[in-house]
Amino acid sequence: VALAHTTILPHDPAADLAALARLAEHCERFSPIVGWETAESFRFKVSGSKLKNRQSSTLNLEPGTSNFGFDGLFLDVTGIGVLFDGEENLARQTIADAARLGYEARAAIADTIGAAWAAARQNKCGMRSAECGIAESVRSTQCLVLSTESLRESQPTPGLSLHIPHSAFRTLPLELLRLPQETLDLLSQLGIAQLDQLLALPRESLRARFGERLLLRIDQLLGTAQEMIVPYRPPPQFISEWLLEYPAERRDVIEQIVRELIRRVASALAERREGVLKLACRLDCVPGRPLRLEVGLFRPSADVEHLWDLVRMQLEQAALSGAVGRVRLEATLTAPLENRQAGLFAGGEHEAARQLALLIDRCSSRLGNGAVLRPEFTSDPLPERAVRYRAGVGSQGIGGRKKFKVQGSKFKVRGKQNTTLNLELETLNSRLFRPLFLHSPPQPLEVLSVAPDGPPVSFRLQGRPHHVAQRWGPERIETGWWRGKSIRRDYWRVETDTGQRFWLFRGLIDGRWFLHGEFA
Amino acid sequence: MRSPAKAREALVAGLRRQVARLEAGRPPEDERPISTGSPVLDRLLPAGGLRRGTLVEYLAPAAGSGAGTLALAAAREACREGRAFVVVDGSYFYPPAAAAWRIDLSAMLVLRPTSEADALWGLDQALRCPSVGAVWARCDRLEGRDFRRLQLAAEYGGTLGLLVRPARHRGQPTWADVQWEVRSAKDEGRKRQKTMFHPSSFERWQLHIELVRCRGAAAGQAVVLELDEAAGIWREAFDHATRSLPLPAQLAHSAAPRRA
Repeated sequence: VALAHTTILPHDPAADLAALARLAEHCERFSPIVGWETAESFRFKVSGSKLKNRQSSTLNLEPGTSNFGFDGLFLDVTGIGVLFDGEENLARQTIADAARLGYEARAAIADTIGAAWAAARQNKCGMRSAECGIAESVRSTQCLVLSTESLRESQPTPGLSLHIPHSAFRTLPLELLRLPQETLDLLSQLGIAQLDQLLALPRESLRARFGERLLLRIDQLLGTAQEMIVPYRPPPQFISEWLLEYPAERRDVIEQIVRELIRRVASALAERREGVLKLACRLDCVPGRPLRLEVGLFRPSADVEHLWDLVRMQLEQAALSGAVGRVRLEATLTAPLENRQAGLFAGGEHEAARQLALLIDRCSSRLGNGAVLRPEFTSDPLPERAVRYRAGVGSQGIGGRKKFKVQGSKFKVRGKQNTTLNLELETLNSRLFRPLFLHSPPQPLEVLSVAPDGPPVSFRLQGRPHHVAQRWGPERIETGWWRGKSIRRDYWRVETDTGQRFWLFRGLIDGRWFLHGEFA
Repeated sequence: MRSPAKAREALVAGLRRQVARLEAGRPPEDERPISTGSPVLDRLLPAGGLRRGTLVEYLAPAAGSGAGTLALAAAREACREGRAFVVVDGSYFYPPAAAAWRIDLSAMLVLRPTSEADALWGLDQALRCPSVGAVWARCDRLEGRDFRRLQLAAEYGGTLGLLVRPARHRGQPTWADVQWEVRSAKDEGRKRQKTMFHPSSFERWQLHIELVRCRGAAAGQAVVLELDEAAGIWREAFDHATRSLPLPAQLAHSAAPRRA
């Protein structure tokens, strides 16, 4: 019956996190270091991933985080209590402040992050509040604000009894230890429910049975292992927007607006010594669909002229379906600019690399990213797979020069060079080993050969007969059975009576002939 | 004190140099020419090789004639000192062939434009880039104005543009500094109704190369080259059976020069 008036909505972790971020921003008035993650969990989660765009990185929660996940904030209040008339007042003010925003908060101040985390939750878990000093006053709350003071043991603040004695932890339920659910399940199966039971066990056996994390959490709770708060900071966004009161149709007006937006974004980036790697531009047309332009760069740049050049090349080719009412420009991917000391004389290797990067950027913008390619060898014996192409933009530098660093796993540089095939080509010691032109897919060919598996004698190409004067082969190329459909071919290099050179093969499975290349 | 006559002489010499540079027929004295990949071809050219900032045409009468491969040899020479090699081609170009000519794949950029206009644009951009050593492109139709633009782009960037084109463009106006026609030596021999030698192995590829056009050089000179595998260059072919130079090379001296 009650459900009839209930609206059920799916859980939205992104919105949760956004709300937490707003709260964190608000709490910066109490402490310079506010965050919802600690360095330890942070390391577990985002090792090797980008640090910059935290909002997205925290969404990929590691399994087991959810039961002690991002439902609280950490504030470092070391030495701050004095400013608020004592730490207890600080806690009260924090709670009152959160209440104004519509949150019911619970707070605890303790020596370690682990202890504060546990104390702030002790009500929920049925721990008696008397054992946990500060938390008494804030019992009736829902959301929680966790505060900690990690450096307190070095400088004890006199006159405050917020220090939670170690004995209080003896009966601490293990749920308050920030452990993954699997570990908790295992512990409860073994009948271990409280911390003192766990501490009675030999440490080494704990490590072997439950892993490093359990010991780490105990140490963090008791203060023998250090833990740090990762301060939250709103991720910088490089967006610029222009709203036109009267939609404009004139190209020059629109171009001026885009240019101005690029200037704004670029100057915001340049202040942070960052450059654009990807730039997205959206022009909302009043009747019709919005026009989206995307520009990728070979190396980060905050140069207005260069960025404008790239955008303009796409803008010129695009058709607008109506008058433009809004222009929005966003740097969707950024990276630190290369710091380079300007030489007294222009030129040198840096200049050459820069010029090449400009060329790649320009070509990728106009021809499309798939049309600017950098070949590299693979170890595949099949001719059409012997070379792999990588897009010019957003990858490794050319010619083995110094690479730029990008904080994104997408742009991980795969520096491994495939030298084996190079060697192979050299050992075969022929400049004519492979044709200069390769037909992909191979062209079917009518070939006359004397023996069923003999060399080609004549063939017709584009309606014209070709007589084979000389031939060299066969060279057999097969794919491994583990590569799916097996391919077996006998390749012949032939010279016709007119001196033209071709590369033919016969499929050994169906016996059909194909033209695969020309020694052009 | 210099005499006025001497000063005038120096002035005239300076002006002469300036004019020579403007005429672009002669290279600036300090610039070393780029080898074509064959000392024999280099000798045919007045500069002793190709010059940076110019276009070179390789005319191919038919598929599989070797023009593109000959151009690769020049590309390798132009891309020394870590310059990039750019290929503008639909989808036929096969990089391992270039790697076999010791062109570094990591310094290679392949542009695959989808339309003729884009191809021209990409070619222009690549030629304009000073860190590019050579641009290798297959292009069929090329209008006079576009051709001129490419030549200016090459001049601006100091790059070498190697254009592989069908032989039917022979005799049409060109902005290329040097124009070669490359055909198989066997084909050339057949045309002159002389039996030519047959290469004993696939590696001994023999090409008949004619200098169709070059400013400051006698047009119509022709040589027969044979690939020297070990050195990676094209040498003058030598008929091992008769111990003499092959026919077209002998003809070249007697034949009346063709009109450029």
